[in-house]
Amino acid sequence: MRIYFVKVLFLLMFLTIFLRLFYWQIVRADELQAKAENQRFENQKIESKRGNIFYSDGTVLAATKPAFLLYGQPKLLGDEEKNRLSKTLAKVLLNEGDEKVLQEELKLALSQDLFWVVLQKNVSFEKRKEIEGLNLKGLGFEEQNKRFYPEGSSSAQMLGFVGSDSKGDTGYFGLEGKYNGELKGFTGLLKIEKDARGLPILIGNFLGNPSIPGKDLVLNIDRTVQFIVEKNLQKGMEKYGAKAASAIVMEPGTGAILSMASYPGYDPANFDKFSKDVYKNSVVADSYEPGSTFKVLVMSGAINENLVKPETQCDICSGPVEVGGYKIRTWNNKYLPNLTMTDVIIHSDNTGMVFTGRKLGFDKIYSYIENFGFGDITGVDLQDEFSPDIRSKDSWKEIDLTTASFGQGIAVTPIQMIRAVGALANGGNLMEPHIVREIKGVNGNFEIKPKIVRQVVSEATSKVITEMMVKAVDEGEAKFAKPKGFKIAGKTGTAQIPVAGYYDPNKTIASFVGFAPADNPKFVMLVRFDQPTSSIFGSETAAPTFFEIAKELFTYYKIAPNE
Amino acid sequence: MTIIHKFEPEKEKKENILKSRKFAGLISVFLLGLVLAEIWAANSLANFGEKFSEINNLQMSLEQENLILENEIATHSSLQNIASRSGTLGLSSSKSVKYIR
Repeated sequence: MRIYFVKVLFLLMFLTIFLRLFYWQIVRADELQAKAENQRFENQKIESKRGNIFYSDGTVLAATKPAFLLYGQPKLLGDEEKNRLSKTLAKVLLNEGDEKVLQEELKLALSQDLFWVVLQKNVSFEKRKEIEGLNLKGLGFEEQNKRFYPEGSSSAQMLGFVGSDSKGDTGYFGLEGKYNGELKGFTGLLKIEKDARGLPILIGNFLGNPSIPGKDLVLNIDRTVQFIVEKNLQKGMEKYGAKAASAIVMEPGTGAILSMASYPGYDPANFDKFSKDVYKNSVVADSYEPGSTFKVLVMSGAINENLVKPETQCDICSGPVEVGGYKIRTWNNKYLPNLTMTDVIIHSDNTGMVFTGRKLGFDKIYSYIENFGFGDITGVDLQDEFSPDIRSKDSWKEIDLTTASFGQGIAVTPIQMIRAVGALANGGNLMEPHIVREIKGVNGNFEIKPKIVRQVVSEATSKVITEMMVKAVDEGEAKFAKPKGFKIAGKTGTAQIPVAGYYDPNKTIASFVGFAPADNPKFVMLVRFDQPTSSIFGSETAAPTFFEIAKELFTYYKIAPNE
Repeated sequence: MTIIHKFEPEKEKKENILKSRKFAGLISVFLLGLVLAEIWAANSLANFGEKFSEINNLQMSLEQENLILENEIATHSSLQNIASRSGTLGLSSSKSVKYIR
């Protein structure tokens, strides 16, 4: 009986052990395997390096520099150690401000009941070496990448900036925003088998996906042209007391943007220290009434339709013209009877443009406005492009046709304007503007080729209007600032700014748009000042700045005078 | 004279046993040697994890230093920097350009 009892007891013990083993090895197998793998394997995120952005000559405009996140492990430190550590780190990490304040912040971070706390972000490589040299316990570094701009605040609005959010680093505005997907790359993951000391086992398992670095962008932007434009634009903005300024230079034959600048600017490396108002690129996102610069487009439409010729005389230009209860006057209230169309452009005569607009009529003027690309985005490769709407043709009255013929009552962006005038410079083709020339990646390179959107006017028309614009520069209000010996085609613009339903006579957008050399244009450029105070006129502000830039560009491009 | 060796099964048996013992001993030593070599190799490889980690860290550190140097070169060769330095050295932009035909 006793033997039997012992046998049963042993059987029960074995059964218990068996059931327990079954529970741990079968029922909880997956969970325990996962825990064991977690303990045995270390997951390392391999950050992908963000792609660089280069000027057309291969020099760096935006790159990445190594930066580190310094973390602490409070549970490994005693109170005294935490105090000593805070004091030591505060001395090393201090860039600006009070050391005591930083020390208190570090002490507060380390006093948290956590395994891991952030002590400081964006620690430089040199500071990391210094801290590692101190052999301090309870600290570690995680690699971060910080964007680096060797040209400082140059091209800020065109570039955009890189900020951090929950998904990691993301580009905002400009090129960083538009090409964020290409620049970002793909984060890799490495699973390494580690030993009891946490070190990798060489013959262990290495699993995961490699990181793919971001693609590089090579721009059409010429570094020297950008420098020349920014230098002169900033000088002009200060000289003429303007609230803001922008300029854009484009190659008319290809649509390649050679330079794009706007002020006030900001430092994209420290974007958070600036107002959000300056992030926007006014060249692609700000609308304005173009004023007299628009006249060359309307005139080219009328010439293209064979409705007028350069020598056609205006028979309504001897005085103000009455339209729908409004009186249309010239800018200086001077009237020249029997003005030719060329004189209309030279003297920027509004009454002459009323004559031209009436010749074209509603349908054709609206059609040319659309064909020149207004009312639609240009497709330039920047994140923040915006296009103001053109009101539907049905809602236009006679006064709208009239004012549109001299560039008021219609809103455009600078990029739309330069693209339209560029069509006059290249034989009549409307081009799609592009900042980026090539995208380079590990899997190959992709070149962005010039794209003709449509032919707007004929080549013959473009030659005729070019000659008229050359005469406007040689004989118009801005002739005194023009560089001698060069054939430059251009037009000034002084557009009043609408404020609360009426035009403020003291607030203008002063602009000049043109291209040179007129016979074989190397560049088309638009310079714009917002509310200059020294003079409201484009001929006295934007035009001189345009010519200063053009002079330097002639030297840079080795273009000799030909007159 | 024919010498007939007496058949001595006991002696032969002893000799065979000795031979097989030697053989077994050799095999054992060989196996032991293999086992020790295996242990030594596995231990060395396992310890290479530390060296591997060091080399990896050194590689990352050198790559980062390279990146920093590249960025320094980019800063020094930026046009803003060149314009500023040339101004300090007394260079200025030309006031007029003459073209010689």
